[in-house]
Amino acid sequence: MFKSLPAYTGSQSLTVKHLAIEKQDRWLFKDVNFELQPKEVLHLEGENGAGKTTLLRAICGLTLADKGDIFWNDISIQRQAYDYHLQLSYLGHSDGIKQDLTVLENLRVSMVLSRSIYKVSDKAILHDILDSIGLKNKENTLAFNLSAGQRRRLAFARCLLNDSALWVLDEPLTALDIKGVAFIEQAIQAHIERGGLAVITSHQPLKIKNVRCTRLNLSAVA
Amino acid sequence: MLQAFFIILQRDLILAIRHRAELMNPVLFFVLVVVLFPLGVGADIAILERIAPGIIWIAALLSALLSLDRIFRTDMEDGSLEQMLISAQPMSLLILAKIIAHWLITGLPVVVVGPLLALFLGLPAAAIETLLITLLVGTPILSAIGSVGVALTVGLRRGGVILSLLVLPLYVPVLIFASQAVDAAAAGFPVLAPVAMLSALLLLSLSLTPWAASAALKMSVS
Repeated sequence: MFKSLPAYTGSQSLTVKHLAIEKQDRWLFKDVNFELQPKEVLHLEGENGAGKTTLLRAICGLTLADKGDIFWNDISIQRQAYDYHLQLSYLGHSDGIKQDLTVLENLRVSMVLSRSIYKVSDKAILHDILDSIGLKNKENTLAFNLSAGQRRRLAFARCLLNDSALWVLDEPLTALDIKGVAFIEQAIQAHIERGGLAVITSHQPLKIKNVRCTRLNLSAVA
Repeated sequence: MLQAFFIILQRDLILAIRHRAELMNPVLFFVLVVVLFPLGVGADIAILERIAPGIIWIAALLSALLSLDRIFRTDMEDGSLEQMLISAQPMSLLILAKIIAHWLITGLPVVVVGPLLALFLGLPAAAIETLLITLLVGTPILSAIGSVGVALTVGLRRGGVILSLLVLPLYVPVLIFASQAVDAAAAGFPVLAPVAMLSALLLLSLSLTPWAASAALKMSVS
């Protein structure tokens, strides 16, 4: 389903300037700077507790920065929360999936929340998405009965619902099998080729070809 | 936008129905508290009749308090709340849907059972109607005000005590006007003034608390 999608409209950019966040009276990181253009991936590195998740949450606007600013297309993300959120897909630490809803119900909620480009009532698209994340025939299974890897796939499906140009992925490969890893790598590859941007943390190496991948080590800026 | 409102409402109702034990908890608590009163103060109908409005309303207040945490706690734990905050939908609208869902789950059963129990306590028939009206108008206020309290404390790991201290004082006006109205009806006085005050409180809380809760949630997750 990735092949058919057109390139993202407009040229987007994500700029982080002098970002610093303090947690429990300690600077997690000071002075993080980077700029991300279309077709670029930022791979965040750092040991456990270096602040990778915090930085990702700050990029999403969930955690407020103590110093510095984050810009989307040169406008601060705080000033254009709505436009920015339309362009953003976030896969966090927790999956954001309701255990007591079925796969399809979870997907529908995500679709409405993200103002998906697809219609909630469009059964063919829903099946297409479920098929591509490997959850075909599982639409009426409660998320509680899925394995951790399957739940991760379902969470990742959020990125495919919307034409969001920025993907923020926090350890997208945890709990996934070889097929799952390959699928996510493919999806990221297709996203980048369409002119998307991605900020990723991952302890496993990501195999993405022909992409400008910047590495940022957070332990170095602590 | 309306679609987002309804899908969150529907989602919370489905979740409640799939957790029937939790669904029964607040109304069971309400019934038990009311039933215990005659055992405690004696079966003297003159006394019971006098304190019936207070008993019903205090029990309704406590049972609302008991179930408040559920408005946001589980969503916070599984990451759904983050997804709502970064969604392309207005958070206050989603919160309004959650408030209404909470009222349908915990408030409406109390509205139904309350007048019946008041009859057992010997409340004059003339006052039953007023009790029903005050419960109908008053219990949504409890859910609305409670949502702000939960939003403020959901980030704390043990916010239970603080939640009660925070919310109960704000519940006091509801308790005063509601029991005053029922008292007045039992004595044959006009009830328009306290009921009008309650209705004003309802409109005020429904229109203001979603904004306040939304701002509080943004602080709680960061």
